[in-house]
Amino acid sequence: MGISPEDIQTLEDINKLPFTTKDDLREVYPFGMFTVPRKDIIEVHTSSGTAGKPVVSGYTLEDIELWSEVMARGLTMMGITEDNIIQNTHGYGLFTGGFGVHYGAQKIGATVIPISTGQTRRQIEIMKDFGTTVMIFTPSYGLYLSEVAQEEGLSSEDTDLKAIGFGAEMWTAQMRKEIEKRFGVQAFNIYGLTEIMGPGVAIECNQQSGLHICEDHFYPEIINPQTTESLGADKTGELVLTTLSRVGMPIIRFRTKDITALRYEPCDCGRNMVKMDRITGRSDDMLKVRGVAVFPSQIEKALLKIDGLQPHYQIIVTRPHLLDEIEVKVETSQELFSDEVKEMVRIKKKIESYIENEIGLRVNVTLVEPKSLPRSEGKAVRVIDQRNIH
Amino acid sequence: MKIKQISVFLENKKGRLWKALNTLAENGINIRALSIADTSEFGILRLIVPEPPNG
Ligand SMILES: [Zn+2]
Repeated sequence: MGISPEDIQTLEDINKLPFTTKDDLREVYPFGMFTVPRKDIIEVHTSSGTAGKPVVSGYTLEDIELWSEVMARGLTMMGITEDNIIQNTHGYGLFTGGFGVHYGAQKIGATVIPISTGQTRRQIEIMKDFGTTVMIFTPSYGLYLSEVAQEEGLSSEDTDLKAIGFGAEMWTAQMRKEIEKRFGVQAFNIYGLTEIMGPGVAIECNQQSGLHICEDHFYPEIINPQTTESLGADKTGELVLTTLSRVGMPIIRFRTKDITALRYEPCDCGRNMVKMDRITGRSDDMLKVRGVAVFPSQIEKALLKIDGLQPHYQIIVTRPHLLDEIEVKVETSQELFSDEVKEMVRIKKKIESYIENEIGLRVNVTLVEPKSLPRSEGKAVRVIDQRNIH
Repeated sequence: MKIKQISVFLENKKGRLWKALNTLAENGINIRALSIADTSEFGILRLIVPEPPNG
């Protein structure tokens, strides 16, 4: 590499160091990135190995303490104290979501209900019976939960909810609004990733305008994902993170693939740590359709502008002849339904034009029956690319 | 006897109409009249059914 420790004198010198990619971490599977003897690692987690081997993250006792600290800070930012009862629907297991929130909640002395994902009716029953004040869920599971709650005749007035923490998945501003409306409380974004630590890397404060990064433990940069050139403040690009205090598995310049921007101006909440925008895309789930970059979040944004439309959709990209085509399946709803075919065709055309406005491409919208698209209890599968060009 | 009109959104796919009618049949609801307006993708099924005595 030709770099010695003396070459690193200022923050800018980080540019001399190479990036770490997810593939680099996979190559040394399982324990190749540990910098301490294996016996000093007291816990492991893995990223979801959707393609190939997962990434294994190893934590020493100090690392678990650090993780608890950053997550505790985040919960505090959301206004959560020891008086709260937190229902943690993130999965407990190799996934970092469940344990990360759990450690932070215990650190602040709140009561944790480690219910994990699934058993949706039981979730609702416990929410009511235990007087849950904070729900932690992924946005798509939150929406699903609210649907089932409605079927069960539970309204937001029947609960003691004070706040929602959500993460592990991309969301839009409208999706947050919908969740807040359905549960009647504010929802705060939690960001994290297994390779770096887990949830707690960055969390939203009461201003709900970006997430404070725990800069004393994680150093953030923004790069152009194509050229890897460093971009400054307020520029949108790929987030790169370096751990500053992790013991068992320090990571230098990890390419997160998450698209965001860093904001250094002071926050009205009084904290001076840098804020990042909510993630607006993934540098790798960006769809290239007829050469145009399309993010699923743009389609979702268009759909949520239409009154009465539920944000349940699926994007199907095909290449029937030589040109790419996008079909968006959208569920009809009671509010949207009309018994006039003419009216339904008008609604379909309206949705098509809203999406076209957002992404700059014509799409074909297919209305499907309510509740016919698959509901996920974890991360939603929203894009089906049938072009076979990868 | 009172009657009621029901309108149902159906995808224009095999088995969807059968499913809707079967649901009514299973619940002992008779159909007085029906009409379907459809496009290539979806249809709207309108049914006239007698309103059950209790509701
Ligand atoms: Zn703030």
